[in-house]
Amino acid sequence: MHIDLSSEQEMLRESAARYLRDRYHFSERTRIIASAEGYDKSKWREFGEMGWLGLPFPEEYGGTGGTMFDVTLLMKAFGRSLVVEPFIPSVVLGGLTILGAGSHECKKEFLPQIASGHLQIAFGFAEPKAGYDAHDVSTRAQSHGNGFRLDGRKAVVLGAPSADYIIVSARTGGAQCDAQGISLFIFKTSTPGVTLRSYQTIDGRRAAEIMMDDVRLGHDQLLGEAGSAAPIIDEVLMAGRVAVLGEAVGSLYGAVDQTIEYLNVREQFGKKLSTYQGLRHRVADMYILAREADALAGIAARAFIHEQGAARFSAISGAKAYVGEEGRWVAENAVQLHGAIAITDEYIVGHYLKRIIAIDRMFGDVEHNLDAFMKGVSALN
Amino acid sequence: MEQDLEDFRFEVRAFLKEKLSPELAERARSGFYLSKQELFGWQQALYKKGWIGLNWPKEYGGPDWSPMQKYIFEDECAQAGAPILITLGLNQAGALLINFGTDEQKKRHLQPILDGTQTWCQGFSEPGSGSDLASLKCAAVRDGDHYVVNGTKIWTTIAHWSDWCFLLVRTDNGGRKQDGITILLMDMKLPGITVRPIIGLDGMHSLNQLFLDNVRIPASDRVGEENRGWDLMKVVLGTERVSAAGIWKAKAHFERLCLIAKSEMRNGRPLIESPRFRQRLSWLYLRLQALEEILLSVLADTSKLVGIEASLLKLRGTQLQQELLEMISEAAGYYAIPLHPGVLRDGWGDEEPIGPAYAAPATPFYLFWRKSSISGGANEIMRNMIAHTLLG
Repeated sequence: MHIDLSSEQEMLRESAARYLRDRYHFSERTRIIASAEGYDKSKWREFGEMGWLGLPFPEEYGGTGGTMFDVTLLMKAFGRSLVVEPFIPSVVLGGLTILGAGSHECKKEFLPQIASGHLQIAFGFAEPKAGYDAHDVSTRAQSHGNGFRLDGRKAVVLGAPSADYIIVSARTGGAQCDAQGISLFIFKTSTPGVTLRSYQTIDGRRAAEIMMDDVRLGHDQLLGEAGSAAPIIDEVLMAGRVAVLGEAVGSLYGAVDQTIEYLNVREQFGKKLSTYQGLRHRVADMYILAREADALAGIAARAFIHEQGAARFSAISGAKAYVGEEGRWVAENAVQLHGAIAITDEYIVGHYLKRIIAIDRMFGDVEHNLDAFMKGVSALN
Repeated sequence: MEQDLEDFRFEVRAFLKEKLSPELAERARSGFYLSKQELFGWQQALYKKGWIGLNWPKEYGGPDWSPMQKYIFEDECAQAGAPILITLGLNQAGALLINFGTDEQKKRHLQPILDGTQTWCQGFSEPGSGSDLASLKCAAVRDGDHYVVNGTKIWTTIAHWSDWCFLLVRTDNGGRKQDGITILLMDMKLPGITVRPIIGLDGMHSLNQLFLDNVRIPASDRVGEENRGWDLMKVVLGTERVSAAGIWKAKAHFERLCLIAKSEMRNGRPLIESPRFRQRLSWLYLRLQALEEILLSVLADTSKLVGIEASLLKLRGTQLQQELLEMISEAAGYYAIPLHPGVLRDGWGDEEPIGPAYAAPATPFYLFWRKSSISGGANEIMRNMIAHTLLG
C-alpha cells in the first residue's frame, strides 16, 4: 500500500535534509571522525533540540511520539550525509530497550535525558562466539547478596566509548542458547570490574569490547524481569534493522547521485564519462536497485508498525537481506565508476561503501536474514 | 475508503468465480494457447459487465475506476487465471483514437474495439527498424484522396486474426527521421496486403510479416496530421510499459511456481527445499514485492507514467516474469524437454498427459516470453531512458 507522507513527516524530512546540507558537509564529517570523541557534542545537542533524539519515545518521556517509519525518514537523511553520531546505539538500541524493559521510574530517569542529548546509552547484546544469535549468551549474572555478579564479554558494542551507561544481556538461567533465562542489566561504564577496549570502526564510528570481571550490581540495576529479556532484545534488534534499512537507502541514493555528478564532469578519451553507454546503463541499474531497496525498506517500516508475527518478521528480514546484497552491488559500482579517486579515504564515495558493508554486518547479514525470511514466507513453506 | 476497496475486491472475485470456467483458467494459467474464440468470449463477458477498456474515459465506455480499483481488478484477474486479453486494440489503438481520432474514426472503431468484434494489430517494426523505430522506411505517397503504401512490417502479433492495423509509415524523407512519420489505420481486407506467418521459438504461430504492395488507404483513415505521428505515439507508449511490466502476472506465476516446487521431488525431498532453488525463489519474491510497491506509487501518481518508474517497471517486471517462467520449466525436469504442438493449442483432451499437467506448456511458454524484454522498447532502451533522465 502506498502512503503519502503527512505534513509532520514532510517537515521532518525537509528539516533534516536542510540541517545536514548546511551543517554536515563531508569535510565537517572528516573533522568529526578525526576528533578525540569521534562525534560532535554540540551537534548532538542540536539533534536533541530538534527532537530527533526522542523521535521514537512517547511524549511523557520527553519524546516526540514518532513511529519507526518516522525514524526511517530521519535515517535516510543521516545515510545520505553519512552522519556518524551514535543515534542507532543510543536512541534506537539503548532507548528502545529501556522503553521496552524498564519500569516507569527507569524510563522517567533515562529517556528524557537521552532525548535531550545529555546522556548516551549503548547496548551490548552480541558476544565474540555468538555470531548473529542474540540468544547465544555466555555472559553470566549470578545472584550475589541483594544483587548480582556479572562475568563475561560483549562484542563490538556500538557507541560504547562515548556512552554514559551500558545495557548488557546476561544469563541468569537456562542453557547457552536458550531464549529463557536471559536478563538485562544497566550500569555506568565507570563501574568497577568493567573494562572497555575501545576502537574505531571501518565506517568512521566508535565501538568497544566490554569485559566484565566480577562486576557487582544492585537489584535495581536489573532491567525488567529476570530471565525474560529475549523478546525485548529481539524486538529492539528488529527496530535496529528497520532504522539501518532507512539509513542504507539514504546512503545508496547518495552514492548514485555522487556517481551521476562525477560522470557528468569527468572526461576520458576526449568525452564526458556520462556519454559512454556502458557506464550509463550501469548507472541505470544502480538507480533501479536503490529504488527497489527503498521500496522494501518502506514495506519493512510499515510492517514493523502494522503487522505481526511471521509476516512482520519476514518483511523486515527480507528487506535487510536484499539491501545487504543489492546495496553492496550499488555501492561497489559507485566506487568502480569513479575509478581510482574513489579508493582514497578523502573522497566521499568509498565511505558510502564502508557504511553499506557495516550495516550489512549488524543485526544479521544477508545469509542470516535470508534464512529468517525464508522461514517466514508462507508460500515457501 | 479501504472498506470500499475491499468490497470492490470481493465483487471482482465473485464475478470471476461466476463467469470464468476453471478449465479455461487452468489452461490460461499454465500457458496453453487460447483460441481467438476463447479470448473473444472472455472479452464479451467483461464487456457485458462494463469492465473493459480500463483506461478509457467513461464517455467512451470505460468503467471510470480509480487507479487502485484498476490495480485490484488486474490483480484478481491474474490470481484467478483469467485469459490475458490482446490489448493492441484496447490499449494502443483505443488510446490513440480517443486522444487523436476524428469523430468519424471514433464512431467507426471504438465500440467494436470495446466489445471485441474488431481485432487490431500494430504495424510498427520493420526488418531494418527494431529498437530504432523512427528509422522506419515503409512509405506512403499521397495520391488524391488516398495514400499508396509500399513496404513491409515485421513481428506483427496476431495480424492473421486482425481486421485492422494501425500503421506507422514514412511520408517525408527530408528532415529529422522522427518528423516524417504518419499514422494510418489500415483495413486488413484491402488489396495488396500479404500476411506471412512467422513461427516462434515455441513452435507456434502468433507473429507475422506483412508485405504491402500498392495498398491504397483512404486519407480519411489518417490519425492526426501528416508527418506528426511520432509525437502521438509517445503518448501511447507510457501506459504500454506499465502493463507490459506484468507485475500482476508475475505474482500469479510466483504462486504457481511455489506450488509446483512443492509437488516436484529432488533427491527425496520437495524441490522447494533445495537450498539454491529456495534462495532464488526468495529473491524473486523480494523483487516482486519491491516492484509491486513501486507500481502502487505510480498508480497513486499517474504523472509517473511517463517518468523513470515506467521504464523501471517494464525492465524489472519483464526480467522477473522471465526468470519465474524459466524456473517453472526447470521444475519440470526431464519433462521440460518434450514438445507437443497440438497439445499446446487443444490440450490433452481424453489422452493421459505425458508428464505433470503443467509441464507441456512450461518450456514453450518460457521461450515465447523471451519476447517481453525485447518488444515494447527493449530493456536496453529502458536503460537508455532511465540514464537519460538521470544523466541528461
